[in-house]
Amino acid sequence: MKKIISAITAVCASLILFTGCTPKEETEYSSRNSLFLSMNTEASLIVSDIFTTEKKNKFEEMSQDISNTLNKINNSLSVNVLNSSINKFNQADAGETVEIDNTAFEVLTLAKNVYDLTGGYYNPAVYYNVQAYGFNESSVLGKPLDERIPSDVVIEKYNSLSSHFGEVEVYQAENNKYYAKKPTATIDIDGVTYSMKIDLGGIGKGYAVDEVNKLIDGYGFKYGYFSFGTSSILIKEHYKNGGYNLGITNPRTDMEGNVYLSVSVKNESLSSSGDYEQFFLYDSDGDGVKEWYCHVFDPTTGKPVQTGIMSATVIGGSAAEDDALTTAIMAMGKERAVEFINEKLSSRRVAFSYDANGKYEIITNIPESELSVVHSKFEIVSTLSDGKIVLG
Amino acid sequence: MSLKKVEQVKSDKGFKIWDVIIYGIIIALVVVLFIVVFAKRDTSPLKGVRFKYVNEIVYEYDFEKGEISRNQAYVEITEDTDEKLVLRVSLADGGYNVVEINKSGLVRIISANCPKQDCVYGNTFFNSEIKDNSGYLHCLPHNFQILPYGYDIDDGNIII
Repeated sequence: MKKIISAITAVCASLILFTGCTPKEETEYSSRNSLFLSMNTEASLIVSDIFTTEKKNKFEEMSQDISNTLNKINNSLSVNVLNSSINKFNQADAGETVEIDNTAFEVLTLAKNVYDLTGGYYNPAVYYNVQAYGFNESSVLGKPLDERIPSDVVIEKYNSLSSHFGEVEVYQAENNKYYAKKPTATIDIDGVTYSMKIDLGGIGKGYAVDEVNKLIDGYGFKYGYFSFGTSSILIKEHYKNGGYNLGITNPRTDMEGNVYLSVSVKNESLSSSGDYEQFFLYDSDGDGVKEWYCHVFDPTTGKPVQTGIMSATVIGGSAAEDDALTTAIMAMGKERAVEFINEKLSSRRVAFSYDANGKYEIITNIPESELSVVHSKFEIVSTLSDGKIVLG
Repeated sequence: MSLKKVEQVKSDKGFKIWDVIIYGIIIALVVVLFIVVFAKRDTSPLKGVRFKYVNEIVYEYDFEKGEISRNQAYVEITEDTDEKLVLRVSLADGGYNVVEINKSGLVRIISANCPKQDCVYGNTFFNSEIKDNSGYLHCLPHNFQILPYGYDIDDGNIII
């Protein structure tokens, strides 16, 4: 009898003990996230899955891979990292050829393609213009605003330099190394000679998103998203809903409501640009009306965009191209942007918001059945005909 | 009781075979119920919290390890004692939320400049109240959330 009771007790004790010792494997979906800092911007990865021990290890390994990739891109494209490819290009003399790495080669080639596609409305060579308005100069912060408005003469000179971006030569030599040749154009301001400088920060973040997409696919994760700052996002599937509900930020924060438009997105990359991210208001001509100076530049004027387009979002294709395209759309202005979207971007979903003297319009090639206007002050003013935008 | 009866009881086994089987089944059921009811229930203490602003995790605090990460552009420590940590989270357009993390395991928003201040007078996390994934602190006007570990940070909504 004692033997039987002992045996039962032993079996029960074993059950309890083994239950306690065996690692508890996840059986339901949960989400994990990793944060990264690259190009002075925070990036966030969220992945949902049934995180078994193996999957957890994979996630950690992938996070490390992503971190390494972002570092590599930063070290290639940053204008502030000594000996980065872009820094070397910027420091080179006019007409000089410098060796660049594979990342810089790919991104510079991409930038040149989008420059051509947009007829120069995307131009990463507005470097001095951006600096003159104090958008990439921390030292300018705190200065009186009038010191952030450069003279037209200076802006015109800077702009004449950036207009030569199409002359940048990028190539792979027979030795399999990559090179970039700076245009010979120079300008003189107050006795100082300037040659072209470029900043691939925006398109670089999009490029990073595209590279992370490859890594996530390689590791076999299906659910989640990766956002780089507030401009570029890769969206995979949502583990419960299929698609994600993407809310596009209301560009005017003087009224309640964070979002003006929402659209469902699944397995796509996208980018958004807006005049609300870095800006200042200043009455430069003394007429009592403050003009809006934002960090997005119009390469045709060399000044911050004042086309009335408050924000632009491009969904589909590569995030790197999308980033450059949103910048170009903002610079084009309403009518030209519509023409461009109809001619060149019919395979992408595009929406932009436009300030028509205080009336906030939405112009988009996304069918109304696929989106929701979630802010009462915004209204879709365009219609679609064979997938093309028609302005009323 | 007759002597014969006493001898019969003495000679009987304590348990018949079916007694053993039934007791075994009952014990097995108790063990299974124990595992299902207790082992799967998440009664773990509050391990940490993450502050989420729009799409970014701007701060993370682990009650065992302390501060894990902090985006200084948004989050500033205004008080740090053995007992508590007070953080000012500065958001767009002058918006702010002040969060108190009591190091014994309590998190609450103690002040904010949002219009209705629902976040200030709303929930508080205690270290024993993690029961499901529906609870989080949310300041809707500021698009600011405080999410405890293990909660669903992937709710299907993204803002760009």
